[in-house]
Amino acid sequence: MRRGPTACRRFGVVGVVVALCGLMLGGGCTGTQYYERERLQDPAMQFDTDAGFTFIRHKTEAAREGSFGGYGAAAAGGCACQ
Amino acid sequence: MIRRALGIGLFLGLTAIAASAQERPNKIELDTFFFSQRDRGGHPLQAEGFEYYAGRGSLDLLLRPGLRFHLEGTLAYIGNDSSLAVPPTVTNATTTSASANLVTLDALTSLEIKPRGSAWTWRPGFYYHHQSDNQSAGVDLGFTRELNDGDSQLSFTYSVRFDHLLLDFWDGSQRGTADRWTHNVLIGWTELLTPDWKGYLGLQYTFQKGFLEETYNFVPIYDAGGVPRLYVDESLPNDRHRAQVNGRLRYSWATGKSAGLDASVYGDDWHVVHAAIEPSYETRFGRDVRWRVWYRFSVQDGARYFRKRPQASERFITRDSDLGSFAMHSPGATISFPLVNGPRREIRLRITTFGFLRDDDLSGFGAKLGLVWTW
Repeated sequence: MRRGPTACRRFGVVGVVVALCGLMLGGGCTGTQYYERERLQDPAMQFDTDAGFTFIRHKTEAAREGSFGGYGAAAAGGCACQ
Repeated sequence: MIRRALGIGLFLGLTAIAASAQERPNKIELDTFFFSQRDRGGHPLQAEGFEYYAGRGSLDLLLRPGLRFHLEGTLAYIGNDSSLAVPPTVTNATTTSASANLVTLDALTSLEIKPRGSAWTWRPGFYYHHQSDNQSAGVDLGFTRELNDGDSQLSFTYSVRFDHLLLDFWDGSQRGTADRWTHNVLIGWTELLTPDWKGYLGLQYTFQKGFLEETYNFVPIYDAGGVPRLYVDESLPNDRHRAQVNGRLRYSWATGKSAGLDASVYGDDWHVVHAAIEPSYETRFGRDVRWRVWYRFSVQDGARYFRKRPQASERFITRDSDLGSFAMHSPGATISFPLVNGPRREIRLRITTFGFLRDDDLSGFGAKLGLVWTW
């Protein structure tokens, strides 16, 4: 049986909620103690090290590449090509 | 006993590091950018190259414990390539206009509020963009919730943008104004998985409504022999639903050294599907010189409205190369080192280069030179 758009949307929403719940439950077991986080707090472990570069990358690539971003910045606005 | 002593030692060390960071809670960033896009392919009858020069300033201030202020502004000059000559076989146009060289301004301000003892951080912000034929304003509302003794961070951001556009078209005509709304929701989960591993999962949904065409885009209509006969406007729907999933992993085997892997999958109701993967590597050497390299590979399956060589106009049609199918390679590298390094202040120089190469022969190269002053 073919699913309608409403069913697909509902499935998507349920999927997102289940994934988030799974993450929250999975994260419930403390993975690190505060004294074990020296390496994790080092600048080398930052996902994005340079806000200025993230900005220019969004400006020059966001219009070109659909899947770019998603790490904290709005995906549109400020450029007619987006 | 030895483990306990080591634990206490590490705790004292971390306390010292935290105290040092607390002594430098404020930051100023100054950046200059250059980016050049080369057009050796893409749309065969439209110039798609441009050069982008920009200067950016950013200020982060700790106003009082639990309250931070952020302000940034970017002033840019965009020089577009001149229009290509219209072939004499085209019957309804003799010249085309390209977007004029223009100056743009981006401004962003936000607060970060973390009440004492609270696991919640709130981030309201405002955004403004200005260029001669496009003004955009928006609001960002976000929060982060720490969980599991700081092992987990759940973040939520809602952004709304309103764009007001002056409709200058590719044929030189001016056709009034139009508006566009963009709503964006981003839910992110960051997890400290082990003392060596960190992960992130982000889900993003964007809904756009309003004028979504690029006015300087036109679509050539060809005859059966492949000769261009007409130019018509790009035409696209007035709404777009976009969804994206991002995963990021980072691993450190020694302080200052790490490797990461980012991946994302994107889809929208224009049937654009895009997937990307980006490994990266960072190391440190000498007197706190940090060096990171990355390589991004992505593939896109184009919009259902994209036509490479159409022989008739359609209700929705585009020849925009960025809405077509392609594969892209994007390498980059950044190096940073301290010019001044003391317990109360640091001035760090950052140099970054990056580029991209697409299999439809569009390519680009950029560089950034920046200073970061923390105190």
